[in-house]
Amino acid sequence: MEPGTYFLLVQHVSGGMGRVDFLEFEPTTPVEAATWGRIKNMYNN
Amino acid sequence: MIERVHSSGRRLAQMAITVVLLAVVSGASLAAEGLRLEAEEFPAYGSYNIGGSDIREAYCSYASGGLAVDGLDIPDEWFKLKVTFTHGGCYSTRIDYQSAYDDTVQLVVRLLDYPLPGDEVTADYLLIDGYGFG
Repeated sequence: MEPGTYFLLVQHVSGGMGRVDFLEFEPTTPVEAATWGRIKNMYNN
Repeated sequence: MIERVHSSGRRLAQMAITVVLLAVVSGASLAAEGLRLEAEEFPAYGSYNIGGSDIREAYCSYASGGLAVDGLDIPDEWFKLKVTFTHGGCYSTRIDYQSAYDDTVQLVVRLLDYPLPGDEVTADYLLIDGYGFG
């Protein structure tokens, strides 16, 4: 992702009321990200 | 009783979104170890309330800084935050939120106008376990 200013929407999808404290961005690597993506995808499908 | 969760986005990594950068956010600064956006900064950037509870800053004993945002209780309601990335890089995201005890809440975080204007990258978050008190 390129440097710049971006906007994020935190949107309700379903269920009761959500109370949101914070969002975090944590450093990772492309390989680590892809690995987590595959693992999560396995459990979500 | 309030439930609390630390959840990681399921699609984010998947979309190679482990995006970004090093940055500074309005109010929050991005150090090498990461960046935190406090939800209560939203009044500067907007929100959309359909009904039910108002979307508003709320005092919360567990929350960082003692503040959180209440009121996302109807599908499609949202609030907006701004983030400024000063350097390219790779990041994963997480969100800290809670619901009423024994309730399930699903949220989505949308990174707007990325990679191109009109596009967006999304990460779904489903609160499924964990609880605390706020």
